[in-house]
Amino acid sequence: MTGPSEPSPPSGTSHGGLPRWVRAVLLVVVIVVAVLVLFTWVFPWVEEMTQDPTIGAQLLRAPR
Amino acid sequence: MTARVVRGLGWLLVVSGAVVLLYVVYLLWFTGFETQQAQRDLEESWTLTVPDTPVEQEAAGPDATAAEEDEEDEELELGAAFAAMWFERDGERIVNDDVLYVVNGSTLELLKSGPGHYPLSDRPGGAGNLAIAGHRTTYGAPFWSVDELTDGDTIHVVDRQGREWRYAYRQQQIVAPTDVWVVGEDPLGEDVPTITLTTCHPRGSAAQRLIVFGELLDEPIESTATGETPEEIVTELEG
Repeated sequence: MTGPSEPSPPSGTSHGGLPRWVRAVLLVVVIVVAVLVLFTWVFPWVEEMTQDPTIGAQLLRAPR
Repeated sequence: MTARVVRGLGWLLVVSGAVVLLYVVYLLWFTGFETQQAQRDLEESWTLTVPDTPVEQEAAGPDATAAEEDEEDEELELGAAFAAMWFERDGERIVNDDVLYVVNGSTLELLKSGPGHYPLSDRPGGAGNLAIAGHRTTYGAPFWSVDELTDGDTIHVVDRQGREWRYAYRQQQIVAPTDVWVVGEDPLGEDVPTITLTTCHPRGSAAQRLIVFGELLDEPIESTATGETPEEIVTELEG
């Protein structure tokens, strides 16, 4: 038994209402920003927290 | 609507997991290639600039040589080859198969090239404390098994004048990352020329530091260390 099917959206438009190309651009922007944030701040911070073999660096970071 | 949010969240977690996994793979295996290449470059510049036979101090007079060396140390740019080092037990090389080229400076960026010399510490063979930092894991892990050093082992350091200095292993200690006294002028409190190696502890974590101390076996030369207290070193680093 099948119910009535949903009306299909106009060509080039998704169910959310935004045109497909806008969604694609948004996705690319989000990915680029995420990668930039990861490589600029997150990964260097993780490396500093887990791979720093020097002495005294934490004193420099500590609030005074 | 809820289903879409859950699906989006699921994808976000999957992608995040993949990114973290790739990052760990990069850190554990691929950073080593970067360091290998840097060490090759340092070796090349070392062979071009450092004499095979040690420079005789008498040639220019002891004072002139010390002054020239001080000048050269100051001029040596950050990241340049500062020294070469290796470890020996009964004449056999241990800890690393290859000679490690030590860079001038000890920032995390510079340590990607290999072990790094704390700029305010003494020069090789100096009457004070020569301090060197190195990665325990990642970036070639030059100090991975430095904890295996025992009594009778020696740490060999060749300076930019081509002179080889031997340090006898003395002891190792686990300290907090803030214990800057270990890179100070006289960490053993015995007024003897020393070498201090600092690295991460435990492996893969920077929660603590493993410190290896050695004592100079040869006749020391004039110190070029700044003679600053650990607090002054921190203040200077801040500037």
